[in-house]
Amino acid sequence: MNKPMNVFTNGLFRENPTFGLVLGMCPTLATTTSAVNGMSMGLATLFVLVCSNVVISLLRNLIPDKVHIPAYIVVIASFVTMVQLLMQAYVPAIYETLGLFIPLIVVNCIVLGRAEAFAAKNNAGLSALDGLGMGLGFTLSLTILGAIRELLGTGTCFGLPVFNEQYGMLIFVLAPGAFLALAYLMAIVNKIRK
Amino acid sequence: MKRLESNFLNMVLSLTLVTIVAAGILGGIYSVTQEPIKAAETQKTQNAIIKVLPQVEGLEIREAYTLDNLTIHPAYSNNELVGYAVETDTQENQSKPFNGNFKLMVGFDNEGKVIQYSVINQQETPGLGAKMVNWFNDTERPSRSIIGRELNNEPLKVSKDGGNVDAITAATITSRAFLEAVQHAHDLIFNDKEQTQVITDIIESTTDTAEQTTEAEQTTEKEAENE
Amino acid sequence: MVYFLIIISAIFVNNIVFSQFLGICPFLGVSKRINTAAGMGAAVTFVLTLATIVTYLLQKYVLVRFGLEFLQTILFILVIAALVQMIEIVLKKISPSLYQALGVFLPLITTNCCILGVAILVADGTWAGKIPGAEANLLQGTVFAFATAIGFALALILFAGIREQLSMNKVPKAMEGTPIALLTAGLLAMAFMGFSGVV
Repeated sequence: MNKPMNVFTNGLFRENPTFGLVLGMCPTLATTTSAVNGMSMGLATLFVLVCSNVVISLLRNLIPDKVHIPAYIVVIASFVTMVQLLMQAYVPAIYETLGLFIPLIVVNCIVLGRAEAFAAKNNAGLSALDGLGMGLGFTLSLTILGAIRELLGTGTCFGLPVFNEQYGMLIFVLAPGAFLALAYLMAIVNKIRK
Repeated sequence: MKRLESNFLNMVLSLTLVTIVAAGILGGIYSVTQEPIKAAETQKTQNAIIKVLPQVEGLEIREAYTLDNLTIHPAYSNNELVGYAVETDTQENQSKPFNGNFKLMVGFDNEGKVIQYSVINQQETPGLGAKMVNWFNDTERPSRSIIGRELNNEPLKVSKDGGNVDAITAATITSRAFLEAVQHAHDLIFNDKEQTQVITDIIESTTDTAEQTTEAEQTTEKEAENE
Repeated sequence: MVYFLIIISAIFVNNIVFSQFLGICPFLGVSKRINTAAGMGAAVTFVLTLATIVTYLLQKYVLVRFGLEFLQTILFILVIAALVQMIEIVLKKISPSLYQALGVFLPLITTNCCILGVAILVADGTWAGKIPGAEANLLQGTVFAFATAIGFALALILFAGIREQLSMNKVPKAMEGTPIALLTAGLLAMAFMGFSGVV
């Protein structure tokens, strides 16, 4: 009973993709212009992570070793395309905001990384939990970063106004602000972890 | 269960199988999502049209037509022309936008006054040019708002260029492009007498065809009843 | 003239790392020393230009023709992975010295988001909106891809230079490693913002 819990919380805290493993930096910096955007990106990645982990885990003994990378890529890319189509159909506004970064989930190091490191060696149940943990950890860090950038940049959080926009520091919504906000957030997390 | 051996046959088989299954499932999802995707697109335009037109009873949006690459949706209420919703963009602008073409839906009444606008899509800088979404219709600040302005007499220009619209703070380029797009849409319909005649003719012929069709339908109904 | 604009825009105004956020993982990982940075930059330039040409042609003559645009993601990533493998094999045979220099970076490039990202941008033609007068055809798209990769290499080399200096200074414990790198990148991004509006 301990192992599943461990697997799940691993992705959330100890090996959090953003702060522990430092993977998936591109979407982290690009899509966190607001809390909602960050959260949507995280959830889309979560979907792909869980599904591909499960499928790859189920197929792990049927795929010969020499072709495992291309095979994993096909599986992951299929789920990414699925997310693309579903988002375009049912949440078109978010789809347009996230834009190029939805298909880029397929090269998100987290997804292929977990497939290789975990799903290829464990059963479907544990793999699903690992995907869920990692996905939630990623969503959490993206949402927090998005909320901070949105708050500092425009004075709103999740779209709700907190303070007057004219006191906001626009830089945080722009490119350099992403780097700066993440840098300090990581430093704070590192300090807490020590 | 031991992993399958990496011989040629196994490799080809497993890869082909995975790819075929993946493609098949995706094809299925694609056909399911096609309709919602198309519907979402049309819904977006429809919402924009309704937002920019006068809120009157019995609003009827007749068939759209294109003039000079802009799509115009005429709006009627009780068979009277009440306004136009025009899809305009910055393609033909002299003052180019900051970060790529953007599209607007602008609503005019039949005298050329601006009713409302809606930004269909834009890629300007958030916090700067992107503010166009609710800067120029901020009716609490008349120096910024273009709502209700009569563009026949006073063309839209930013104060810097001698006009009387306050540009977005630190986003003059975007503001110029925006105002030019709106002015272009207005001038197309209202300034050129010839163009207006073309439009009235098109509208009237559509009304005539509509009336003829209704008459034809009524005649066929009567004949069906008689039989 | 438009080619000049494309090059300036891709390298400076819309630099792929500092304003598009593509290629951050290798940017943070491979930029500790100037020669590794240069090597990675060269490898990316090579692969990106080739990949863009191939994926553009595939998009135009296969995907659009048969109405299969939704298979873009799968097809492109497989093509890129295959291309990288082929380049490795060819490079090993043709120029062992070049292979020595670039070879180690090639497997890393497959999962580099900037390759897939730029390939999609060029195939869909969305890159042309920001550059006045640009058309989304193969030649201009390839120039764009090549210039983007040069911009990536530039960002990488600049960054590596700064990091080499930084490694000789004392940094607060909590900021060591990635945080200080991100902070530096942020300052560089601010500097590059100065180019905005040039094109």
